[in-house]
Amino acid sequence: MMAHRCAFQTIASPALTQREVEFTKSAWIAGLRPDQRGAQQLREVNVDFPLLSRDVSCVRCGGTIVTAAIACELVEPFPCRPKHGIIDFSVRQPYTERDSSAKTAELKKLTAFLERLIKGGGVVDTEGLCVLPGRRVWSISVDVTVLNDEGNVTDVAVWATVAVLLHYRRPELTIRGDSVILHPTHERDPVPLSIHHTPLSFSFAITMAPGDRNKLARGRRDSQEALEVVVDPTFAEATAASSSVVVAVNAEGQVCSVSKSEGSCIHLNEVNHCMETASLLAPHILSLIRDAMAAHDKRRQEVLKRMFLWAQKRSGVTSEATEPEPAKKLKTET
Amino acid sequence: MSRALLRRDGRGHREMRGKELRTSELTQFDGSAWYSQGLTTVVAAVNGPVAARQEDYRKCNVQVYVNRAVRIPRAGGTDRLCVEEQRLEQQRMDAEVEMFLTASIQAVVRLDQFPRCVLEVHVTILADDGALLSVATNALMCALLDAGVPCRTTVAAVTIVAFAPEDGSPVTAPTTTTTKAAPEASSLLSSSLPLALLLDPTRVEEVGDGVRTCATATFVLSNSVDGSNNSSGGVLVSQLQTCPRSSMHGGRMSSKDLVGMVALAERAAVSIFSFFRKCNVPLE
Repeated sequence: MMAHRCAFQTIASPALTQREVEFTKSAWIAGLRPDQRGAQQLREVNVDFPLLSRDVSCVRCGGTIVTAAIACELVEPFPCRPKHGIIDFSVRQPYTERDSSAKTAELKKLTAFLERLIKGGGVVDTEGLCVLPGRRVWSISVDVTVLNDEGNVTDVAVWATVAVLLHYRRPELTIRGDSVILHPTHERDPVPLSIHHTPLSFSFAITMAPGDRNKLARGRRDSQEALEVVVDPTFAEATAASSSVVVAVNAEGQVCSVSKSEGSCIHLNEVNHCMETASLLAPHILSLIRDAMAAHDKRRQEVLKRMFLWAQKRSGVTSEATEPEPAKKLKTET
Repeated sequence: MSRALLRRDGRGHREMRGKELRTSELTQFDGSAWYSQGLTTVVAAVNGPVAARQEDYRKCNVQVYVNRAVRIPRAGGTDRLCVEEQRLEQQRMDAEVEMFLTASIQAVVRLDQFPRCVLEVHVTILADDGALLSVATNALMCALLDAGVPCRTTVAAVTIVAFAPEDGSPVTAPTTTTTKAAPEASSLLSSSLPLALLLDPTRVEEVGDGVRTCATATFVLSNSVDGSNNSSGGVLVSQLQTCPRSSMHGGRMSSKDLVGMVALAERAAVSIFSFFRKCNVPLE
């Protein structure tokens, strides 16, 4: 794994890229993948909420690290849509000298995909974000930052966005007539956003075009089956693939979005295979997100309990309020 | 009386927040560091000196990009003007962070060894809860060490807030109407207590109450030459931001207060250097 990781750092070299592509294609013909995963196996996925606040999520899939952050404000709506809230997406990535100029177009495409999937797909109802029609609506801003890119940024960005939307809590409101009271978090518990369903996207790489596969099947006589569709392609696999498909499904197995933008033609049974594989993988990712949310809530409660114990000591609630003086001096000196 | 020395989050005046450091996570960069002090979290990524097209070919060029993890949400109607003003203010603060980090890199990295090259630094601010300049500089230092860029020394950055103490304020000094006691009153004013210092402030402490806050200073201190644990090598880069003179205590910084701040920063830098050394333990 270490040698594999070192090889990725020099992927910018054209000769090494060509060798990676040839090796990947040979492995696919032999029915294997370069990093010895199965055809329907994801890399190691880790969902985390790194800060104590609820508005930043970090998802790792192998070497790909994506961070999603959310911000929420009570603002005036657009005059043309007075009853709809505002939800905005942005994807950014640190630019390096080795990246090509097509990276910006890819990020814009990813931003448009997120907009279509979450805003157009009805995950967050913008009409539900309205507080006072024409005066006050909620405005949500989700920023996705790709910290490290080792392939399959689309999936990890969608998982991070869904995780931060599920975990975020906005302040409680009290509406009396025309006045809106925004309660701080210490007055009332914040409320979660209303999420109707949770779409999770999965990228698939189609290994070769149908014509090439027919020629290969006619030429070879052995019983080894070549790989046709692989999930979660790495950078080298995405380069070597003839086409790519992105399928988004929710937890109930319904297909929310299918996207194929470039590459060769594909068969309909391959698209069906992609949808079935995505339906099998989506509950696993969703359970990872739920487990990360529960672990973060537990960590927050422990921190709050510790702060409350310290506040008890300070205000002299317990009998141990009088601490010994040398400990106090040592604490202040450090 | 000793209980009043604690802050609202349980720290003393000269106590730092908890630190967390992770390096070498972003494999597509030559060096990276994920550093946080309290809730302020910064991710720094360094692409080592690479060939670049530029005018001045005698030394390495430095490019610092500062990004915030989340933007200010959009708004319509008249609120759009307020949002645009807030975004401009945030861009101005990001530009200040960029200039500070560029000055720190130029002071630390031996740029003359890499002609015709560019050193790229990407700083992503995940959360800002005060002391942003020092956290970003510490993250940048760890990323440079992770990338193996040759540096003159190791640096640590510390942020300190100076404010007037509650007792002994000149405003509460007794005012006299007798002309005979005028020299005594002026001497009493000049002999007021020195400013109190807060180490590693949070955002609430940085903003202050607008009355007693005097200045916020960030110092970048270098490591000592002999490697001892009780001193540092001096201040390389600093930034001092005072309150306006229209404030009650604005413009009251004296040289003695500044020397006290530098001394406190030097003592705090020793703990940061110890933290860096402990994180440098190789994997078993």
